[in-house]
Amino acid sequence: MSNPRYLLFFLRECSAFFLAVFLGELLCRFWILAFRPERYAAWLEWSKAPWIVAFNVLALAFACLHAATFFKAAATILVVRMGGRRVPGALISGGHFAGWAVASAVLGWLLVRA
Amino acid sequence: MPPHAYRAHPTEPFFWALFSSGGMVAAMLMPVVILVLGILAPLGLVPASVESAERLTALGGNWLVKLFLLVLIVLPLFHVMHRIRFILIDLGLKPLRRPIGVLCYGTAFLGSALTAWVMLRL
Repeated sequence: MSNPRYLLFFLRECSAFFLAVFLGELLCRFWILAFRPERYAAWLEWSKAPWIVAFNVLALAFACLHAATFFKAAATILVVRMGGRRVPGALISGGHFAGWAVASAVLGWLLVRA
Repeated sequence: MPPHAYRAHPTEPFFWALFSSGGMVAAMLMPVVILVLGILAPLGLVPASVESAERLTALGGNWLVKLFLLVLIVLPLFHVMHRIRFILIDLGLKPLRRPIGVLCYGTAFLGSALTAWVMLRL
């Protein structure tokens, strides 16, 4: 763990656990809406518990770490050639980060608009 | 082929394709979903109507939204279970790689079926 590269690798792998649990949360929310709508209000109250929100803050941090490492890896994995020359990796990963910003803005707006 | 050479299982390309597409969906979309539904809404930093039963049920009635939610949950699910599979193998459970594969991908398939069922009922 004293090696920074190995620590980053380990943290990136750990992101799978947090994402898996949040996916379970998401599925649980819609399962209750579909099959037990009378219990949804109680579920919303439970989701406000400090430890749940704290877990989700960690999940967000790990989700961002996953995204950043995934987009950086894209620069190595994706070989794009234009005019016979390879497109620089920085442009590949930069394009991914830009797409992430746009997707987040659009989806965020769709989620919060009343 | 030398006896010590790695032999990929025929299903490997299928699960690696799901891993990469799931990783892209998780990377692009999960952070904002976690932020809004997991943090801002419970803290009351967005209007309560954002996660109200009426709004989510009305949205969930739209087939495009159902399809979006299906993709949002299923593809990242395969991504994380594929990653967890290799975490367990790297932790020394290589002799159990077959049962681990069955457990991890089985969980992903089960989760996918459950998600599809929920979307059909929403």
